[in-house]
Amino acid sequence: MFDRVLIANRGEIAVRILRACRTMGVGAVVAYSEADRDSLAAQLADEAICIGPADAKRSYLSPSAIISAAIVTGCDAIHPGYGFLSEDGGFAEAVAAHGLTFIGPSAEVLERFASKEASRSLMARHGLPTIPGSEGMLRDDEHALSEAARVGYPVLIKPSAGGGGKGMRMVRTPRELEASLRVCRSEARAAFGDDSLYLEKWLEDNRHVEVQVVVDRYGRGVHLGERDCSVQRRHQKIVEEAPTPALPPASRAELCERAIAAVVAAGYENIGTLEFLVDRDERFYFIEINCRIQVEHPVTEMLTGIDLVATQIRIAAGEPLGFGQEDVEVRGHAFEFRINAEDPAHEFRPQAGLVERFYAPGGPGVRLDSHLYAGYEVPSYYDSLLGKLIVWGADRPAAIARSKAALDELVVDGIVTNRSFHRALLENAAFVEGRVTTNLIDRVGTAAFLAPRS
Amino acid sequence: MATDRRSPAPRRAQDRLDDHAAIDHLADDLLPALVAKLGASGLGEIEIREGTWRVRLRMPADGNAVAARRPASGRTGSRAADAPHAERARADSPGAAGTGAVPGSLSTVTAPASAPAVGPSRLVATSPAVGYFRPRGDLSAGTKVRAGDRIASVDVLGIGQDVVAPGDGLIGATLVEPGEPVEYGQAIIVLEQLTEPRLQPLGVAPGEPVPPEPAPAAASIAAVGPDTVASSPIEASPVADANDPATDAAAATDAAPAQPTGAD
Repeated sequence: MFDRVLIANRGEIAVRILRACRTMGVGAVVAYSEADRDSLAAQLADEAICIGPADAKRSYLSPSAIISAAIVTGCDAIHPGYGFLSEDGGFAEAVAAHGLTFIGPSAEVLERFASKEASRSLMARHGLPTIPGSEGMLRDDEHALSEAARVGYPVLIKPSAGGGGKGMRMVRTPRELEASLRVCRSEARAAFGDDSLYLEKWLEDNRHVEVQVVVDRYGRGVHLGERDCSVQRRHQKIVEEAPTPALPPASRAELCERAIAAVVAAGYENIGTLEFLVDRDERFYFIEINCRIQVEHPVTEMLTGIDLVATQIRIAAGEPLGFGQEDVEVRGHAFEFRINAEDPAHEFRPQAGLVERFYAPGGPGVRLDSHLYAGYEVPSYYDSLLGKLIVWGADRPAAIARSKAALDELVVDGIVTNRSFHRALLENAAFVEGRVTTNLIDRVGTAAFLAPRS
Repeated sequence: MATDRRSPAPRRAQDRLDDHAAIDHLADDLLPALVAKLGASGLGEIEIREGTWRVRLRMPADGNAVAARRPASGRTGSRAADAPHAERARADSPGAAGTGAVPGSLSTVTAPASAPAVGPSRLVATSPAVGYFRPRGDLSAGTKVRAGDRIASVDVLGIGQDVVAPGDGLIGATLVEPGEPVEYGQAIIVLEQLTEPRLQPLGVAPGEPVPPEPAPAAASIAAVGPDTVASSPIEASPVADANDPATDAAAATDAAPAQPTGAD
């Protein structure tokens, strides 16, 4: 096991990693930027070291600053948390080159999964369904029509180059397809200088379901069940839960078993998350893999009792997993509410400033992972995540009831949070019935979505 | 918290005038002499009383470095009071001595919330990065340097990054041993300025932005901002750190001034 770990991140995840280190008897050094000098993680750490200015490019995103900090503080491993350099193969390689351990997959594994397209074809080869689409680029209108018929309408026309929705159209009929191809070609040519197009099946009202996997260095892997992250606003997850209300138990088991078999076969290591879209007919399609600890990992911890961060550190230290699939028991239901410094009344505008009062809710099944304290000044340089309220109940209704009580107890004064959004969400019929799809909140609009039903 | 210390008690104008006079005397006459005395004497601590005011200067625990190594930002003058737990944690950690430790560890100046921050004529060159300190062999105390001169370097993974002089001056004390680890923004070399800057009456050190609020709980004496140049190894903070055993004895025997208002 490591003697000392450098935590190269900030906010709640820095505190979370620090707690894992403490429970394992591993020293914890927090690397912080000038804007995080007064952060909770820096205060709780065995040692804290300033690595650069507030600008993340010169601190949390600077490989040399982080590696140098690890060396001068006598650390033998670096935990990157999530975001920043957590999935950067080049960084992982540099860490290893300096005789330190990167807590995560090896550089080689990170490179293998670096591109979404490469990951999809790799995982498809190992038996995971991906979103169906045309074979290669569309040669002409006739080819487009035949491919669309094979894939099945509705289809999404997508340009090969670029992104941002340019040259993209969803079409429901062959006539719409013919009419749209010309428009999409010219848009794509204008935007990217390349008018090649392909087709992808359009998934109506999809759900976002992901599978947590854990694989040691010796090829032994287990899945820890799935999480549902369909409550999103502008592609940002707001609430996560497990088990997913979108799939019956047999389908959930099949999804998880196929996911773990595929990543083990593909040579993955350490902890990771396979993300899927699930359509209305409960079919699932692999979209990408996250090679790191995720924000919503506590949902899985509540259901399985397994400390994912500690497991991640143990695997990186070369320890065998030490448990098998038969040892993993998923119990009850859990939600995670992301408490963000955002104003729901004003387009979720990010907030910064002094936290005047802070009280964390408590009671059975209630956990708050946060770096807040009264007197803490939320800096404006980084993301708006202030903490995560995680609530467990024996079943979904019980978890919802506890969530309401916990959200009512939470006090964050001095800075506006999205707490009121969460509280209203818990009264929303679509949410209570487990029917929220990834585009629902954006399609309806947050105000209308949260308005009480007449 | 800082705000707790701003207990607004009505004070007479004469009180304020007396305070200012006492502080001026402390800052102008006593402090420079005290710093020199402490450095030369090898004593751990010196305390001087002046009316209802007292000044206590304390060497850091390891006794050899003359520095508040962790630069204080403008609002962290009361950091020790804000987060005693954190400070203890850092001070106790084995590596802390090298990588920037306790703010205000040299000295504690009893001062009211509105104490003028007066600046000795010094600048401090700070570390541009995390790494190991490498002095320049050809520079020694007393060498004259110009603003922007490279006066040392910090070794970051084998590559030297320049420590530059923040202004014109003479090389003074070097606060870090050669080869010692330093963190970003850490004070490294003191520059004695050639000309005395005028002390300003209302607690604004040269180069330091005017505080937006009238009263931080404790003003630092020329606080070092990592990107600014004004600095001193001395930092002021309220002495009432009940958690610090080193201050207990003195505090108990002393009629410390009433908690002053920040309204001046």
